[in-house]
Amino acid sequence: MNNQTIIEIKDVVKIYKRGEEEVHAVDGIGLEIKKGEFLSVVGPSGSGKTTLLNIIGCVDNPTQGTVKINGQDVTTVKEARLTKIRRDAIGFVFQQFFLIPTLTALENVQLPGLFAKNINRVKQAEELLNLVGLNKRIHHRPAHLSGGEMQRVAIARSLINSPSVLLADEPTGNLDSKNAEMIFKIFDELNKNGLTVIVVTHNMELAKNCRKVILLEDGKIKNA
Amino acid sequence: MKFYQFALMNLMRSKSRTMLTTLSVAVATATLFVVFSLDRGYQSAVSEELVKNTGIHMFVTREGCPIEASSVIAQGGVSPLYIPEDFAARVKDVPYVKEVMPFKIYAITTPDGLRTDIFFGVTDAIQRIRPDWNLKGAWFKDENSVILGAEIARIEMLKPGDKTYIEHFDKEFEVTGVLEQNFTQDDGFFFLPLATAQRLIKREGKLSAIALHLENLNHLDDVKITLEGLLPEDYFAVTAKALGEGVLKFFGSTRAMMFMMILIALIVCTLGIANTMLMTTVERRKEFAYLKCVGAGFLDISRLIFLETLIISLIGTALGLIISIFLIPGFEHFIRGALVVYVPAAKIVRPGVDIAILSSAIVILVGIFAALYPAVKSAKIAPMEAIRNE
Repeated sequence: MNNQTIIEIKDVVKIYKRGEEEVHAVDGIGLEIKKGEFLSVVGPSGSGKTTLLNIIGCVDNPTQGTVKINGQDVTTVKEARLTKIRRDAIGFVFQQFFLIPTLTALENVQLPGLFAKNINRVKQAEELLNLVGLNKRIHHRPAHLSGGEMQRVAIARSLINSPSVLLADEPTGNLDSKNAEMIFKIFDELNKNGLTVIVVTHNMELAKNCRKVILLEDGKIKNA
Repeated sequence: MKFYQFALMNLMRSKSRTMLTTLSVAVATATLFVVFSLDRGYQSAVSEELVKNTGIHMFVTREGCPIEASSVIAQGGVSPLYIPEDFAARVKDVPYVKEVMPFKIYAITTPDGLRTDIFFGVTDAIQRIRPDWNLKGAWFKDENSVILGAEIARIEMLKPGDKTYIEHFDKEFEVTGVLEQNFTQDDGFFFLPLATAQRLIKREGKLSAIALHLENLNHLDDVKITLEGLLPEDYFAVTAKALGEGVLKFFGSTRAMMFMMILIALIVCTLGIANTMLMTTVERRKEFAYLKCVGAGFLDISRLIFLETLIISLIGTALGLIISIFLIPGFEHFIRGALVVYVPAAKIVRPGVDIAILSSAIVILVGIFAALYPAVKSAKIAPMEAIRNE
């Protein structure tokens, strides 16, 4: 980890409307994440973990406040620019693996590279699948992979465009404890190689594997 | 993996739906291809049979209706009206008329009912009128002579000097000549001396019509006016061009129905593609959202939908064209029986590469148009929305 701030969040508020009621999913959060951090965000359901992650990942806009990624304020830029930031700077891993059923593991991993017009995507995808221990499963389709294997494919896929930060939303939510530990081990390895990793989880035991844990409650940071 | 491979893989997810949509595209293409082929083929056939390659600029006929006149003049249609043979001498001296060919034409169905032979009673003027009449053998020797069109000679395996028995007339003829193939109606004709043709059907001294070849087409109107002054009121001087146009005018209603068929086929095709792509949008909503999370932009998603449509359209049009090739002979047979207007003897469904390209282009453009709304709808899916719905 070095001192370079990769993500800077200031006074971020996210308000949803549920009928007449206003829900403060994120309520005045400020946070600085340095390059190379391994951070977990924990908290009960509805505490705003996923909302915060989505705001950091540029897939949701805050109602108030600013979010800077690599020094650029992403709350004021247009959708085309956000697309580029999501493509080049951020890797996403979700609880639902979102693998394309008709594509092999290798093809699924290449997919973000296709949008980024990455000409080395095939070679990189092979290397990444090797990195997550799936070098013998590269031509298998999702239907022939276990849950843990599918999530490892999803991790490999999130890394194809060499992002600055990896965002994982409940990545072990659909996995047994053995596979969950394996996923965190991969995150740990990636982090040791310099990647910034932010994981949202409700599993406190796994969260303890991270270098830093943030507890959210009612949209506010309780401790860091 | 390339973009088009990704699109192709997406289509493989719902094979039956993709196949049905492809079939709807194929049906639309086949309809367009066959109808365009008929439209062009019919117009060309009418023009060739009545106007081009005949050497005839004008007809004197008793039939006022272009359909009836065409049937009597070109196909040996039966009519109680006739022109007395001596009228030929009366029109011969009209200024600018170069050749006059009185003729008697009639059609006889063979005893097995499978073929209709057309007998054309002519004078030697036909040799001077027809632009590409190349006779192998000789002109009629006597009243028992026959000259055969190239196709008839080939089917009957006859050559100059052979004898041929025509059962309908219980009479044997000597083949004095065979025409070289010129890809006109002449290829299928039996040419007889005029007097023989008249006698065989007991119409001595009676003509189907008189064909005129003019010195110069600039005088067509002059000749027509002179003839109208010369002939009785119930006789008509009709230019070959006007005759063709008259027939095509009657074909107009059939044409309108055909183009209505095309419109329906295209609407079905459009709805089929739009439905498939909209289903895709609904079913793959979360997936598109994820793709946007990992950097797919508006153009990437819309391009994907358009590519999927293009693949369906290309396969569908190819399939449609292949189906059409097999359907065309049957369609030609069917349409000949169904057409209430004049039906030329030559092929009336004439496919071509240009028609194939035009039909495919129209269907592909319609497909892309149909995909427009689903593509925009898919590309506008907000990544957050779909993920939140989880």
